[in-house]
Amino acid sequence: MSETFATPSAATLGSAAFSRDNYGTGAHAGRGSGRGVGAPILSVRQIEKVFGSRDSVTHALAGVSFDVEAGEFVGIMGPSGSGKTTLLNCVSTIDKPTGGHILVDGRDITGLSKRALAKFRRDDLGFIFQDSNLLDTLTGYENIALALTIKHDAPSSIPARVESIARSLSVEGVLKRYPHQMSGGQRQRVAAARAIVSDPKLVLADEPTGALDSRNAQIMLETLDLMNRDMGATIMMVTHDAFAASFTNRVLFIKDGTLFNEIRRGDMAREQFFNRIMEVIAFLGGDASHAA
Amino acid sequence: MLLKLAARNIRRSVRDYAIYFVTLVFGVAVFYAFNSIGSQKILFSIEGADANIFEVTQELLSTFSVVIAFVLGFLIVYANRFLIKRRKHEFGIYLTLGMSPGKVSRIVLYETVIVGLVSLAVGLVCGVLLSQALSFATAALFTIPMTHYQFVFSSSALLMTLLCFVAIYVVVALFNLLTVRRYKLIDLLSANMRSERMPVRNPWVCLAAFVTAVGVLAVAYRLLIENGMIDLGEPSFVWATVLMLVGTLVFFWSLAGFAIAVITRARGTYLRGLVPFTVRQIASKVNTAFVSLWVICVLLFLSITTFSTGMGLIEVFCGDMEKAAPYDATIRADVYYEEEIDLARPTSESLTARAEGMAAEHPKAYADGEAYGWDIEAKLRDAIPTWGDFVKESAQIDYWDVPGSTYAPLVEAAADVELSSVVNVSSIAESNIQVVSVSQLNALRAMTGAGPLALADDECALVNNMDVADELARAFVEEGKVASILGHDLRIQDKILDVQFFDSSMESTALMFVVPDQVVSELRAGGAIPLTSYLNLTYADGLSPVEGDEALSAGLAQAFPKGSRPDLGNDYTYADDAYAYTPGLWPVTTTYTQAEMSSQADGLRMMITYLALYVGFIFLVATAAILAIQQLSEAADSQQRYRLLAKLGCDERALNRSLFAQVLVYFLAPLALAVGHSACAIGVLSGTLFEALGAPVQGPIMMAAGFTLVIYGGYLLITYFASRSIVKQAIRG
Repeated sequence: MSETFATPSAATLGSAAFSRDNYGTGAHAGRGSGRGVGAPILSVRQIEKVFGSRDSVTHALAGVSFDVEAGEFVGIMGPSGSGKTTLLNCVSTIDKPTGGHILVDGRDITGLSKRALAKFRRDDLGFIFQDSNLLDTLTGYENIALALTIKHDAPSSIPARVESIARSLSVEGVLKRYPHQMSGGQRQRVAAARAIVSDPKLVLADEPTGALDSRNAQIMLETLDLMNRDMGATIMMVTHDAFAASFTNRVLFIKDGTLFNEIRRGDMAREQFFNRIMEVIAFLGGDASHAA
Repeated sequence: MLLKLAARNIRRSVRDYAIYFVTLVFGVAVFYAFNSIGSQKILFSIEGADANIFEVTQELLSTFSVVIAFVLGFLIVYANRFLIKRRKHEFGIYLTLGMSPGKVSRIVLYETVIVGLVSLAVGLVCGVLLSQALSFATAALFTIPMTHYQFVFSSSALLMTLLCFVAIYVVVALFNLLTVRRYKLIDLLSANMRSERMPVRNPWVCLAAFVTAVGVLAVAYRLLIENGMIDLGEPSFVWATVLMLVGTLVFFWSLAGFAIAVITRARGTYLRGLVPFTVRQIASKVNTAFVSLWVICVLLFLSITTFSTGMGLIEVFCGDMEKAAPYDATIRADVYYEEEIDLARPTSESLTARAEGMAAEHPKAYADGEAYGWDIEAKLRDAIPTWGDFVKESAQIDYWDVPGSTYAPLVEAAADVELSSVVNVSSIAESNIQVVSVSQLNALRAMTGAGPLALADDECALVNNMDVADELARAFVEEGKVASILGHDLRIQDKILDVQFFDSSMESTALMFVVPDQVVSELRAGGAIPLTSYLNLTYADGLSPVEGDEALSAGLAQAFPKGSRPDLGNDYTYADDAYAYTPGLWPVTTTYTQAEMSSQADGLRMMITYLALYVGFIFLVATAAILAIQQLSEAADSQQRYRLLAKLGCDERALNRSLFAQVLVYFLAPLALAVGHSACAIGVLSGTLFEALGAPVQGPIMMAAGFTLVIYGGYLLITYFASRSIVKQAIRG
């Protein structure tokens, strides 16, 4: 990892340049979102993450800032070690940034206590991991319901919500099965259902198609698209797959701990957007790829 | 180098080893302490027969130690296998790095040796301390005065402990070597890819199996209740045992599936917080470990039952010594008996039969008895010059059996009364009625300060103080009303008398009739001799019980030196040299003293108490340790799940609550069923045996409960805190 961060000065420069150009430019229209567009759901302000002690300091994040509006589907791309996973961990409060602020719906989450953080994750975030991360001892139904039960939602309201979300994501057939009885694609869609069933402010997806074959990856991405468009979910997805990124509204590129570039889909067709992404990747010289 | 690696491995996995180590230390300490009881003797001022207590107790405990050693050996091998299995991946890495299998085996061997040596050393130190504590407990529990305290160390117990545990560790080491040697590299490296496949059982099959299991257990309980646990050879008892074992196994096999089926239906309670997760965690653990839960349940049942019944039996044998041995001393004369005659169920054919037999076989003893009118005191006053110095008062009781008058009519009259099954009614019916004269009874009552019994010429009174025969005695009075004795129809007085006729270890007067003197005179006139005679003594004022016992035995020894009556030609001998002066029948067969009886009772109490504690403790520790090790490894295997839950936003408190629920249920499930089984067994025993014997059961049950609570509860809490730290690490890491 460390060799990619060998030039912190350049990283800082890039970040500064990016911030000046794009920060605070106001509303970005989310495509097809049913929600009103206004104050950002997520505001990342100059966050830094430094690993190591005084002798060998590594800047995983060196002052990153950006906003995500309600109803957006944002992709974060970057080569291995660029800091994109660290960024996701900071936003998801699994890791703590060493500097800067993260605001979710106007609330600064960087100073919260451990219990308040747990409550925040439970109430405001939804998670989709690369390896689905379903609980192997629970059925599909229970895995989805878990997101609601740990919020202490009324038990009587749970079955209807679980069943409705399962129908929307086409996993109603595997609700009674255990994860090991499902296919990889089914597992990932159940995980998506778990992430969205509690109607979170922000869904965080970490390489959600990383462990899937191309067919299942496409189904999964269509599912995310559906979640975003029809259910109004705000999604932030980390990926190094250009094909996956082409499903989003906007892609942020991170390199060496700083924001390197940002492209919007606007009215582009997906294939067009994909090509734009590939261009940036080529320029980045990173290892991002597309297998589809 | 390998040694260093081994030592570091142990330090690093100290969390996994902690419970294992603590259990080993417990095992060693308790093993040593209970085997060292013999050496405590020197602390107490006890002489002669009393000193035997310690030796007999020691011998019994040593015998049981063999069983204990096997239980501990099983536990240690099992726990060790568990710990080794968890380290497959580590061994795989050693092998990949080019270490030879022999060297890997040696690391494991070193680890075993280090843990073994340290646990032995620590355990022995704890054991020596524990045995000191046991000395004080002995003094307090059995009211034996401790003369002077000194540090007691038993080299024989040390040797035995070392032998047993070294043997166990050798087995463990061999087992480990074999296990490690058998591993294949590919299996070792993929060991961490935990199989997500767990047994999923069809809920309907589980439901059916669970209902069947409960049914089978109900049948087993019923059989046990019918059997009454008196005749353990009966097929009903064997069936009850088999069904109980099978039912328990099926119970644990189907428990999780059944519980899931029921709980998931109750959506209102199921879909709350971490309940689904907790329930599934427990269910998957119970499903995979149902066999060990079964074994644990059976072991718990055995230890609870033996502990409480053992403690209950103490009270039967060592209960009320004031009532069982009310006199300073009793001299018993068997008078005369033919070898084939059962003394407990006399069946003399005619009045003169026994007198004739004795006159023919032992003419001198017979002549002596006749000359003194069968009055033991008159004979001893002549034979022992010091008699008056140590005897203040005496009262003789002669038991007579009445040929031709059996208990049969009374038993028939009582036929409709329901009796508990311990009493062998038919054998009582065949026996001759036994009687005591009212004047002898009143003389005895006078000696103990009780008022005389008024008995009309056409009356008799029933004496009984054995709980076993209580119901029958009451039936004789209420249903029989009249006893036919030697041609006299005597009305039985309503009040059943509670008199102990001689010193014994337990209350032992059963269905004796007190009759007017005239009846005994007729027996005597008809040529009968007493069946058994008892001379009860009160020692002279100022003599302590021990001094009195010494004076009595010195007097008897002087009057009847060893071999003084070869004319009796009787091969009835006593193993104990103390009684060698009485190889005969009349006037002295043997003596019992109050001091002797109470020290015997104390000895028995000590023996049973220690045995129950020893066995109960080891079984409990063994079962609790297995549960603890399983639960801890479960927590370690579930780290991934806890990490995920934390990410999803479960706070630590909710996770800890779930963890506690898991540990609690996993510990309580086998205990609950074991308590159910024990309640049935103890309930049956108390209904048939204990109530009949008059043994209290509440006290011992409370003791067993307290004992279980402390040890089991202790392991439960340690397990909870240890798994909590595992989970905490998982979340932070």
